[in-house]
Amino acid sequence: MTEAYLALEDGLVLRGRSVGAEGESSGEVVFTTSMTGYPEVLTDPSYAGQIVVMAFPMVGTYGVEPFWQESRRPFLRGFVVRHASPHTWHWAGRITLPEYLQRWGVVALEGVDTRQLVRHLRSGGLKRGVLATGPQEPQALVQRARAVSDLSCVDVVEEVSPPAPFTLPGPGPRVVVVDCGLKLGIARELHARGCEVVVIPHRARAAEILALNPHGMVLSNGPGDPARLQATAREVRALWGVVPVFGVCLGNQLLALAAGACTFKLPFGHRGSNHPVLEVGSGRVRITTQNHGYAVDEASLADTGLRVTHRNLHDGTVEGLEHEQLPVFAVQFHPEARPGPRDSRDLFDRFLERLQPATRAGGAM
Amino acid sequence: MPRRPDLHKVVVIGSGPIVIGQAAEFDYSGTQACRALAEEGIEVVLVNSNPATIMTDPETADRVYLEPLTAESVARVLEAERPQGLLATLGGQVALNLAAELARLGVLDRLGVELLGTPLRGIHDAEDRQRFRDLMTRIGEPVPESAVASSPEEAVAFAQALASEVVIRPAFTLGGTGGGLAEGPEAVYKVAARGIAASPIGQVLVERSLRGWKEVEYEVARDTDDNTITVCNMENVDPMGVHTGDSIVVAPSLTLSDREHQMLRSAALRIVRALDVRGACNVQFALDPASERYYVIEVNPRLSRSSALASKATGYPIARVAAKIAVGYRLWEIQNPITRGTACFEPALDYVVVKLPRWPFDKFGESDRRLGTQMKSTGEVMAIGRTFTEALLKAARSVEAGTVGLYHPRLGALPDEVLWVRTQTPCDERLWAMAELLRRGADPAELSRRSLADPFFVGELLRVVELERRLQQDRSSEALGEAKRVGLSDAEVARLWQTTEEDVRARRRAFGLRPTYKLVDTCAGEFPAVTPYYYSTYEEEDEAEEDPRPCAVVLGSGPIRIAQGIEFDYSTVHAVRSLREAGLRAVVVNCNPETVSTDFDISDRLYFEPLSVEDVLHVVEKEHPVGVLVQFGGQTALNLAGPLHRAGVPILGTSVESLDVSEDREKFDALLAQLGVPRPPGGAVRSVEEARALVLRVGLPVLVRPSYVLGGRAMRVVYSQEELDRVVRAAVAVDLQRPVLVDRYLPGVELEVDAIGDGVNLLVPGFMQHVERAGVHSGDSMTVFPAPHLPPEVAGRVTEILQLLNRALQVRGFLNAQFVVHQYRVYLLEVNLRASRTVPFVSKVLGFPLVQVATRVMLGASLEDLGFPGVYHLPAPRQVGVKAPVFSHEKLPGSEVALGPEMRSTGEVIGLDRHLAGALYKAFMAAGVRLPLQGPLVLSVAPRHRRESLRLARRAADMGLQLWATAGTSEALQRAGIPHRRVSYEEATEAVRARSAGAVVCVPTAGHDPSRPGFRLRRAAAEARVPCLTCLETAWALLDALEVADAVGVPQPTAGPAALG
Repeated sequence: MTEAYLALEDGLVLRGRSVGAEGESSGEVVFTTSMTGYPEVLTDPSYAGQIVVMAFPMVGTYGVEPFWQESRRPFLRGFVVRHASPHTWHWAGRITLPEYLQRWGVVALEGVDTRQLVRHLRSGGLKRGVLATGPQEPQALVQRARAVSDLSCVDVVEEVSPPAPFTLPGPGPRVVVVDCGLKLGIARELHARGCEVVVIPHRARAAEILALNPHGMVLSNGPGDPARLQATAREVRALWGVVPVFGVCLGNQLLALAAGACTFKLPFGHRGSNHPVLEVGSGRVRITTQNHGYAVDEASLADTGLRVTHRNLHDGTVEGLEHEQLPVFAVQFHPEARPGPRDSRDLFDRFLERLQPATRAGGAM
Repeated sequence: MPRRPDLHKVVVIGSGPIVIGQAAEFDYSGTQACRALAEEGIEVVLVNSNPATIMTDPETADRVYLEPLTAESVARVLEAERPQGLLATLGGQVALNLAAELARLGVLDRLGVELLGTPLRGIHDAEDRQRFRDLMTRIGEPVPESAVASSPEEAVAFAQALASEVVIRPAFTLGGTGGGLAEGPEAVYKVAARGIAASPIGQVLVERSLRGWKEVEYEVARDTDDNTITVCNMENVDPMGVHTGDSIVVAPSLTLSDREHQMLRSAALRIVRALDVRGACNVQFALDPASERYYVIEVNPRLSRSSALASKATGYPIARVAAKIAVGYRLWEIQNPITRGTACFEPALDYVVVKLPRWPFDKFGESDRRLGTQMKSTGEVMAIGRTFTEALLKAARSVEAGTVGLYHPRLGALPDEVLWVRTQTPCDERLWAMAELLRRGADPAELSRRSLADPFFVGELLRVVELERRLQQDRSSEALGEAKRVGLSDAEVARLWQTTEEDVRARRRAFGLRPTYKLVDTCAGEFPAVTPYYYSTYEEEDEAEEDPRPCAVVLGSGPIRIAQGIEFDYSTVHAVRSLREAGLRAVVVNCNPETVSTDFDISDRLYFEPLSVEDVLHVVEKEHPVGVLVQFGGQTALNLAGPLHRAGVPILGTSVESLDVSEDREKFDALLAQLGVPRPPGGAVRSVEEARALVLRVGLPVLVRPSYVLGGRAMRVVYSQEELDRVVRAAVAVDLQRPVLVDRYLPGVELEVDAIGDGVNLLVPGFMQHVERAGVHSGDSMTVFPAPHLPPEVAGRVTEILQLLNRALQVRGFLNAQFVVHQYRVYLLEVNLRASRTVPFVSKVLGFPLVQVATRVMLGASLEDLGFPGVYHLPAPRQVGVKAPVFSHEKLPGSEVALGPEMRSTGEVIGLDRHLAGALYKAFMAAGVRLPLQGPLVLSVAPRHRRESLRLARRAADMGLQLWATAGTSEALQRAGIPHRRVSYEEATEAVRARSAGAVVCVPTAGHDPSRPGFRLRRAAAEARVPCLTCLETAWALLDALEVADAVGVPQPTAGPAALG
């Protein structure tokens, strides 16, 4: 059994066992409180550039099944758990968690006090960190953690966005998905509703998107600091009023940026499957899956034409936006779930309803 | 919508006596809900017949009615109180059924009382099998193929068409009473007949058996605006086929993928919405272990045992939230008191919770230990760890089943075949049988296949067994560290190292291995939490910060079991309150999720931990208390006094030396001889030969009991030499270490006192008298307080003996003693230097805080300081209280029904009235005896008691009761010229089964012998729930009650809280 270490920039060093690939990896250390859905967490591209700590201590209890993956491979920089199950017995869990981590080269640590880590990050804010296997000099690791570049200075979307467009054919309306780190769950939800889903890289220009004759456009989730995506935001702005727009997570922030509002970094983000979101006006609450480190600055929304449709019940941050006149809306949480509650799948239906006039106009067919 | 302004007064219905399937969890949820309502300024009126509850305290509700939970009596309360609302979802199935009946009778409409929470339509949709099925079909949720049968023939026809094993469940019953699994026409007929008889609406559901499927539960909360959340999900380690109350349960589920979990969660939300639940609801599913196929199994539209467990497992106060929803709040308007954030979220756990049931088979040796769809456990424990093994091993040591972790000494000697049988057929020892087989090298895959347990769980057991193996070779600090992280106790390591627990503890300390404490915070560390609810684990960071304010530790009583029930939780909670009033921080250690004492805001700190020496010592080392209170947590806590004392922990109250004298037969006899206090002659024996010699000296009959046990396990009155040989042999087999006590059995009136002493002064709250003569366990006898017609010289002599003991033992705290008055002489039977089972009963009748006074004394105050100088008798109460035992015999097939020195009741009720007869009447009614009798009184009396029974028979005949008598009894009646009908045992048993008999008086000749017709008659009565009285005194009391049946007055609320001087 190989030893492994996690060192944070503030000097905290945890020693445990390596349960993934050998080597060293660095990134922003974040935690999620989702109790199930580790395969989905591992393959959520929004974790690119980050080392993910699972708050729930027993991970890997049902193995990993490739179909449950949310993208073509794991993009996270490391995985930290209290206990990783070395076996799998689940009918659909074809390989064990350690096997999966090794196969995909994910550096991973087990046997550490993950609750201590969660409390540390919650109270002191997220930290940069280094995960390394084999014998290590702790102070040297801390030094290396301090040298890790801040996530707001890296174009992580570049890493996760697909090199070329691809299409999931379907009989219904054509939806272009701007992939900034798309969770396949979003594409699957659209596809399951009969859409033809055209996934394009995030650098696509408005003109290229229009050339695809879309009935609607979805702005995907994705990693990193949204403020680095001003170029993408400009293209989005150019399409308002031309096609209905639905943003998810990073897509919500892109919408705000496009309207001239700004975003800010949350102290330790929202990551889990249990976040309550209140719909403004109706008083209805939905339990949502969240994975974001940044939020839309509500004050900056004044005179942008966007209004707040949802708020987080815990901290009141913006969880949904809607344009006052145009068929443009977005949510900060994940209606596709995976992992997490399926309470918000109706949002895809709501988006599809807005596509109907365009279909009748016959603009695309 | 905030709270409804139109609700000023709400009546809350409690759950009545503890029976299998309905235990302390409803005191916990009821108490929490009442406090939540009181917070809103709502006047709370409570009706409950169970005196041993916190919910019936004057501090919990504005007015409390300790009245029978019958429609008639609750209607009278509603009439007197005229509330706007009735809350019936907190008192289990009893309260829900009562509410349904009150609605059906038109009482609610007539009085303009609104049923709060889930509307009746939803309750009926959930409870009525056919309606539930129809509803599920309408919303597209799969239910197993099933049919409702009103006759056994219908059940058989359906099962044959299905060609599968079927499960049979009666409608509207507790804990699946009377149900079961069956395959083949004969078995189906038998189980269906039993189920139909047990169901108040005469219906059973027959459905496809899903044995072996995963059983998964969701606890859901929903408000009137349709906001719906799941608080917790749980997975049964024992798959479908074993009642969830009898299953090992883990929270959250561990073997479900997110897809499966979300599929079932979404289904649970759909179901709860379709039922229009307003409050809490429990939904149970069966999930195919090899696909995503599932079935909806059951829904409980109320607080339940599972919701109590879910509350303790997550920290989320479900009852409180349900109560707030019932008075109008929306979920997001309710605060989560743990984080002070919103209650409208789903708790995230960063630990694993395991629940283990506690079964009563130690008391019911003759009963069938196999587990099925009929719940048999009386209580449960919960344990929290960071991993499954840690939580499981903590639970295993919490349950006090005589095991060392996963090692069961009795199973170690059994051959493989027997262990395989116990693995394949679910029984109480299955977990230990599986571990033993793994220890012997059994193939885990085969074990999983034959036990139907998910291979994941078998794999986890294997991890423990492999570690056990490693430890046998390896005594390094690494190995010990790994053992502690996996969850092994010092005692388990000591077994493997063949040394003592103390030795392991010393070595562990030398290695620097100590546990850390983590918080249960509902949010997996995401937000700061303000409530001090901790569990131990071996990790890096310890979150329990040092608190310099002085504290005392109160030990709870662990799982609810026969002879150690909810009464001890009542005392624990009151001790906590008294400590806080005395200015000390109160620290509670307990492991029972059903209790009030383990609610998050009762104590200053709650350690949800096993009540083992190791775990309690760790808490003590953490908290540095001024001392530990061991007198409130029953025998569990008292048994820890010695080891804690030896480890240097101060024990508050009566010294450990005195406790030891009171529990050691020889030392105690010597003391009594010195004090000149007589007790029935007898002694301690270690063999059949010694027993024979003793009997030659003291004579027969004798009372035989092993020492140091709860509630007189294996205890009985023995009338013959042959029986004595048999009983002593059996008792010695239970525990060779300890002698068997054999005492002359002296018939007479039995008295009991819950006194408080400080070594000098003595507080006597009054005298209890048992209705049944000595020889019936005090926990099973009807008890009258204050004792009627007690001669002053007897009272004087009893007081004198108490004061002698108080001084000699330097008592500081409770002094419970039982006496028998035999031929005008007072004999001491038993002394307990701890709070007894009757403390809540006496406290409630008097309206006097006994526990508060005792706690002050334990902390060092003298009774004189507290205003009770010398030998102080409390003034007699204004009313008479009668405590009646309640049994769960119908849930334990094959168990003896007759009363004896071995305690068998699971719960108790109280009858309170200005007159004894009225109190008796209410106590019988509350215990489920329908008065006036609904048919003839059947007499079947052992030859020994026949002469005495004539007086009873004559009185009954004079009262106009129709009498039936079996052969021998009939002859005696005939000779005495008492009119009756002579019946055969078969005829009597048939009438009982058909419920055409009003009550049975069946005094056994031998007892415990299923081949005798009397035994079968008693079993039939228990199963048909026809009152069965096995002592003539109880029957006499029944006649007393019958005489006043028409004259019992309007219910009166109990006295308010009495201030302590």
